[in-house]
Amino acid sequence: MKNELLINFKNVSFSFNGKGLFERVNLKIFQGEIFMLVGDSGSGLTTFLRLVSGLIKPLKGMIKVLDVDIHNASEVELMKVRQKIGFIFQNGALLNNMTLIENVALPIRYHTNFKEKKIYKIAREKLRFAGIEKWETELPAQLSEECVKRGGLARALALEPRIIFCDELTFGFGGYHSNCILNLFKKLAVENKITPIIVSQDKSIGKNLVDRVGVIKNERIEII
Amino acid sequence: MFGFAELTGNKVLNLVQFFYEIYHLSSEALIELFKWNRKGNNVTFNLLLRQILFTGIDAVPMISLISLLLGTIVIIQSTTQLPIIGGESFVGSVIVLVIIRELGPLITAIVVIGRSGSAIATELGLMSINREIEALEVMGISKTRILVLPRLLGCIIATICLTIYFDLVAILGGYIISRIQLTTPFNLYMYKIISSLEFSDISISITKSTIFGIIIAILSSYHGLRVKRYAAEVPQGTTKAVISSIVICFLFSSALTMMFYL
Repeated sequence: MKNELLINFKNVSFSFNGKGLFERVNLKIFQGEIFMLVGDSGSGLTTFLRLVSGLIKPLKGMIKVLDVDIHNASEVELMKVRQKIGFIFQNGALLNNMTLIENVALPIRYHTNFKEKKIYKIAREKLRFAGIEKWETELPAQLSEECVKRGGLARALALEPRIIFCDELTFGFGGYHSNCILNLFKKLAVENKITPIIVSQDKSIGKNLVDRVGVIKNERIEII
Repeated sequence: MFGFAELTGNKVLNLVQFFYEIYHLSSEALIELFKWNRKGNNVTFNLLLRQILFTGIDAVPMISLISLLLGTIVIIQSTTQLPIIGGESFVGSVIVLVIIRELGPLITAIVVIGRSGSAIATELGLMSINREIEALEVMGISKTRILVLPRLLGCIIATICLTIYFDLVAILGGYIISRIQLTTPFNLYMYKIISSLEFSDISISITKSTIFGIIIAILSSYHGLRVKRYAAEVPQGTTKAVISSIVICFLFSSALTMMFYL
């Protein structure tokens, strides 16, 4: 059921090194739906996520996340928005000089005044949800790729976000592990009311999971 | 001719851009320093302690050895050569001048550059490639507050403490080793040093150490954060961090000496 408008792309254009990626793209994503964006390699999947998370600015147009124009927002407004979104990078992007639990605890420690005991309790809950609590004292370099990605998921959930962005959710995983990760996301969307937005080159993962699929084609996003 | 003008112009523009970006990073770090009511202080403080441990305490063995040997060299040379030209009364002044005013801060800075400057640039470069810095940004965590500020404060504190330690070890330790050959009694030796030492020598030495600490942390962080996508950029960034830090520390050392002693 579509409720609050979470993400609003309005006439967004972007190019990289002279190559056009998006041309006057309009897109709306609502709370409660699982949205997936697919495309070929180099079509702009990761760029889409970087635009919507405010890491890069569009050449033209406006992007609103949780009703905030993120590219013209103040530092305080942008920080508030970023506390309500989670981001899972393709390679996990955990901080390599911190253990798994320290990585998950970092955003909680930075943005809240919770005591250490509560911070670790929340971090352990997130690791348990991701199924990797027994590796909490390991460094990312000592973990498998799947564990690192699950660690990224646990960290993205640390502040109870409203939206989770996922870059290549099942990249590099075989069928069994892909299904495990996908089931976790289904659980997130249904039980935790978090809206996942997934970008992927793997068009097959959408079948049992998503409500809506967008395809990047000719510098536009078409809903199929 | 136009090619030469274009080349020169590009170099000047690059230099201006370099100084502007350094100024921008430094001012961001300074602004973060005064935002003590911001959340995340405990994270920054823990990282600061780690940086002091790595830059300061872990460097003590190397600083001890270098200062001991340098102190021995300076003491032996000054106590054996100066009396030949009737300059025995200047022994204390030479030791203060060479060790406390000049070599103490400079040699300490070079050790800190080699150990910590290179490590900071490498670590931040690798973080950039692994998208760890982007991860901090999307979590709403200020990269200047978490990555630059603790390194800046840690380098300043460690460089000052190491410089003071360097001077003490060079003067005292160097004397102990020099006693193999020298006959100057300890109380006479210390009298010569203390009577030549002025408060301005200590304050200028600490000022130099503070400035060197800032230079090392800011330049190393700058070159590390400039790494974008390729692993090959990491060693390039580290080399630039080390070389630019050494050159600028020497420049500032000369400028401060001219400013205070001419």
